[in-house]
Amino acid sequence: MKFITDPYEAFRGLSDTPVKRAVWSAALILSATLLPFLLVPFEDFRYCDETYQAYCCTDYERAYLGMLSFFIGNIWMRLFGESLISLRVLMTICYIASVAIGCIYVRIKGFSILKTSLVYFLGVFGLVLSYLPLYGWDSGAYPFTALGILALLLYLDRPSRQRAAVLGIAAGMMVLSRVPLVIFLPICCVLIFLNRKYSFSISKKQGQWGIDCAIFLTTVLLSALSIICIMVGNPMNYISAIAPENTVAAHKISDIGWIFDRCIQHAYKTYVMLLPGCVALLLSCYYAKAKECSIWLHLFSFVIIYYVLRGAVMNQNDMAGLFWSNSGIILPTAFVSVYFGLFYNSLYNKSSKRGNKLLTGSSSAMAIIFTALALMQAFGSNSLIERIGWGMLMVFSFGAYSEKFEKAPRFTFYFLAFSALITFGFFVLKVRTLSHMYGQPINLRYATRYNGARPIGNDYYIVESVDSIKFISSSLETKKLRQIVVGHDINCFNFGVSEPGKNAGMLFDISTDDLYRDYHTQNAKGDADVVLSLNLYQDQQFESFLERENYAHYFSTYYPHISVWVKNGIHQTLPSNPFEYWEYKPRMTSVR
Amino acid sequence: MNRHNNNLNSILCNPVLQKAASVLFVILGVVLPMLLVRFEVYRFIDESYQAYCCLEWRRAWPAMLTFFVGDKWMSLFGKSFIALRIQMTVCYVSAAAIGSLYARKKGVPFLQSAAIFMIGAIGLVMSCLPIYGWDAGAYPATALCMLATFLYIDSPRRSKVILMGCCAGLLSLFRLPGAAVIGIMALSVIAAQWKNRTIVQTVTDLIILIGCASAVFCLGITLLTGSVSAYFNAITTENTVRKHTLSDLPEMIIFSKELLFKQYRLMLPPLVVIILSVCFAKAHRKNWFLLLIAILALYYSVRGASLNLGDWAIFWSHNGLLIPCGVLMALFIPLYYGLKGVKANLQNSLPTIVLLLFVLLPGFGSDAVSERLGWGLCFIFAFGVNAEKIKKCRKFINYFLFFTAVILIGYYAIIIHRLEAGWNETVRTHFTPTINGTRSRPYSNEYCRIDSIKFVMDNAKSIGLGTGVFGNNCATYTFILEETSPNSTMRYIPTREETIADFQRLREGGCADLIVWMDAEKDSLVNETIKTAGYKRYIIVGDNFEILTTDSIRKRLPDDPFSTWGYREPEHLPAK
Repeated sequence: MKFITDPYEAFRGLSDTPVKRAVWSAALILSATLLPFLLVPFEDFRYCDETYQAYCCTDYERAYLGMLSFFIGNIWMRLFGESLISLRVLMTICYIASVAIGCIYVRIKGFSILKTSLVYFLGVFGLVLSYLPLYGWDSGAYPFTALGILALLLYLDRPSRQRAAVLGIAAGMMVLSRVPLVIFLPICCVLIFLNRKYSFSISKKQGQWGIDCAIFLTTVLLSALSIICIMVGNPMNYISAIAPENTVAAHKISDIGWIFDRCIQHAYKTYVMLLPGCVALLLSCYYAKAKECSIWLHLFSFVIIYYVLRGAVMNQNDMAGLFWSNSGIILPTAFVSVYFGLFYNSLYNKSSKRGNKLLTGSSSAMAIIFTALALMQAFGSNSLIERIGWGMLMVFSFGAYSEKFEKAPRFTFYFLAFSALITFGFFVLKVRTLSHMYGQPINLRYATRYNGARPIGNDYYIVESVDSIKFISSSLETKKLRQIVVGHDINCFNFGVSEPGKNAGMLFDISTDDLYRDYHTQNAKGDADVVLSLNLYQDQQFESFLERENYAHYFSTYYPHISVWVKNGIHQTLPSNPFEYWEYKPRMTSVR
Repeated sequence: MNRHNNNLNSILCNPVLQKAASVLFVILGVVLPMLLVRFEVYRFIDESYQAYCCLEWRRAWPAMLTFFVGDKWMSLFGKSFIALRIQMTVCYVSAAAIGSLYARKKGVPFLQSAAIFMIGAIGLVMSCLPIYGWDAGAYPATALCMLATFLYIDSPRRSKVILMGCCAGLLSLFRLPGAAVIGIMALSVIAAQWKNRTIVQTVTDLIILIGCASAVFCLGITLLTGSVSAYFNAITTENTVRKHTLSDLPEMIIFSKELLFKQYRLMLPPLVVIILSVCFAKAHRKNWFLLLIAILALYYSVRGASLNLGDWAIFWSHNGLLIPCGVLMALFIPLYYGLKGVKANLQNSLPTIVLLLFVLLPGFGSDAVSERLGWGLCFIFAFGVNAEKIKKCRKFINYFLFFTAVILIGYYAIIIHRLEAGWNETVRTHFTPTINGTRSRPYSNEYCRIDSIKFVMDNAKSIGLGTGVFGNNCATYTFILEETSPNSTMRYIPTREETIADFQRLREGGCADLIVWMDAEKDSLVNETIKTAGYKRYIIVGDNFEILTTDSIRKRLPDDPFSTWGYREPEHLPAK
């Protein structure tokens, strides 16, 4: 038997019957659906963003900025436990679901089942690795965004009133899952107008686009109202939640300078992650054109891929790189896919004349639409570069340019295969590196444990601090003392200390002035026995203020600065060493 | 020249523009590397070690000719690091010139050859070790060896075997581990006419090769030292650098691995260059989309490369910058055959194999193998070696050269800008002749320490005290201190026993009134020996530069030598 060194020929040989294709597809789909859960982080506390979003889930009625996402998070926690880990599992499901929705479009557009499975494999690992690794209004909105994009592309392919209505329902859900996605509505209106007005093969009856727009907007409204009613009873409750104290800080127009700086910083932080994608692209080009694929070529490719993957892991700017998103890993592949129409036209001397449909038939138009849809996902974020939805659009682009991809079958195969290989390779290295850092291999049984015992780095001390404060707080509760919580990043710690959230506010990052406001709101009568002060910037004036208010310092943590203040009369009745007296057991011993 | 329907190629078809551009490239290839000469007084122990070897070239047997040339250069242009750095630049530029001359000889058009020279010169200066020593000094000789070998492979003749042998001998004089080139040349001799020659002819050629190499080497060392035996007498432990032996192999592998992955951060720009060259060569018409992508990608990758580097890299080598281009050009023939479906055999693969072996040659004998690999030289010579195939991919090569020049010059501009910022003033050539000058621009605190030690030692000498130096990197500092104590060894890093022996030697040599313990590691046994001999710390500079003296001498010295003798910190210290 002749040994086939050309992987494309080997691939064709291995998938020449429906049964073989089904087996390969099932293997790809199954592994892409299950393996990403290995990346679910098991440490207690990662970053204040995550606890903020978790707190929004527990108090979703007030979290109007992404109420549908938080509502789903709330139900999920009721079903599977109120923990960060269970939310991370939900986050992974959201990413997988959004890729699956994208692949439906790819399949509808005629991509073979095996190649669609490969797109699914690439998409799932790409998204899980490169997007924000926490459940919140970003990941929670992903499936709805994918639905919206699917509905839009299907509408553009064959406009009809029914499709406009479906698009409206999807858009309504999108907007509720993340309010800044409201920008999707004008995008849809413009596209409905352009598609109806200038398309060749569809009805151009006067006012047709207006009717479609009206149907679209009406269904948006109806679907949004229905979901609001399911979530909070009636629309007025939703409107009343729209208040400054329920609005995240550092996301406003006035913060644009700071946001811009962050964007540049993020753009260059992703730099080290781009090499594997570039190498995958170059190898795909070469293999697609090569007439002779020798063993030496495979060896050479293997060495290069290994080097760039290892290099990408080793050259992370800091620890955050491995614990946070690796958004560069999918970027070159996504970029080529999203603009594949333009590249194809440039390289194969094709004009970009439209086909029978204005928008989906034109590479330029699709490039603009995809750019808008990718940018749309970042709209409203304070970390724009990190949130641009290249990964999701990559999945849809295989459907949108399916004809062109099918005309270059060798390149398409190698492009998908090498991109999937480097993405999966990076996934394996990341899981391996994280498992080393956790001190033991990642084990799925930890997923079921609430607040699993492996915090990382300095964040451990945050856990330790919150733990110790929580311990004192719960011990004081047993003495029937009234407590209030004031301070910076309060919601993050509210989730950590299981605070019932009397200090109604979802500000995320507040100024030290707000310490006074928090205090006065909750302690107008001055009857609080205990003040938990999350005075992270150690504002001395506030501490003096508490002293003047007749509170005495009882205990404080070093990092972050959290302190417990107790009314003067009560202070003397409390043990001088609360940890020894109430038998505190730090988790440190069980971890290291 | 084939006319291509695109802007770059149509510009290149104009003969006047071609000549003007060629001259411009040659001028830029000489001037730009010179502007990159660093002006700080002190950089790194490696540099001062090599400078010291230049002064003591008779004992520096691993690369005697390199150091001899360095010494003569310093006699002519001043005893300073800056003078040696200029010599280093001359070495790299001349190596690039030899490579591009070969390309020209193989029929590469003058414009392309000039571009190759410019890219090669800038690339080598930025990507190779930025100090004069046995690495930089041997580069022209390595380039000559490559030239001789490829000339032989092109048309094997006995006269060229003699030429190869002479070049190999010369390279061995410039850098002894370079003698491994004889192996590469022997392979070329055996493989070049494998089917057309008898074994006797091949063996005769090999004997001639080795004989010529040995003759040139012996002649060289005789001319340098007076006799062959004088050279062999210099081969002692004292004169041999540490950390470069076989027993250090595990450590060297770890170090090389570390350096290999440090280069990773510089590899995006050349990868972008290759992708863009493929796209532009394949594109059939003017395309604003591709042009926009190219500008953004080039800007981002070059900026990103410089932003993602540690500070050391700006002052050290940037060898990742040429690696992907070097790999592509080295493997150009097999990759070309792969595209055309041609099977590889020994005959058509020989130039590639030889080219790859020459990549390894500069790394042979080094303790930082992956940093020394000669991808830059390989890149330059590959154009000559692959000249025939390159003619068939002219469009790709033109874009490849153009984009490579863009990233190199872009990156070069960033480095110059950063260095200026680091020095806190504009780089100007009139600083060049300032020898060892405090008016030059020192970088890092290291300079202050050495300057202050030198101040104390000079004043001690002026009151009639004997001074000496021992400890780690002793030779390194003796260059700066202009110290001529008995401990002028070339070991680089001594063992504990050797440190103690050095200390004793100072005492026996009568120059132990005031002793500098350089880069002192707090070794308890050494400490004990010093204490037993009655020496105590006089002053400490930094964390680990101690000046020791005995109680009797201590009485003659001021408590605070700096204020008593009026020490003034050097001017133009770097901005903190």
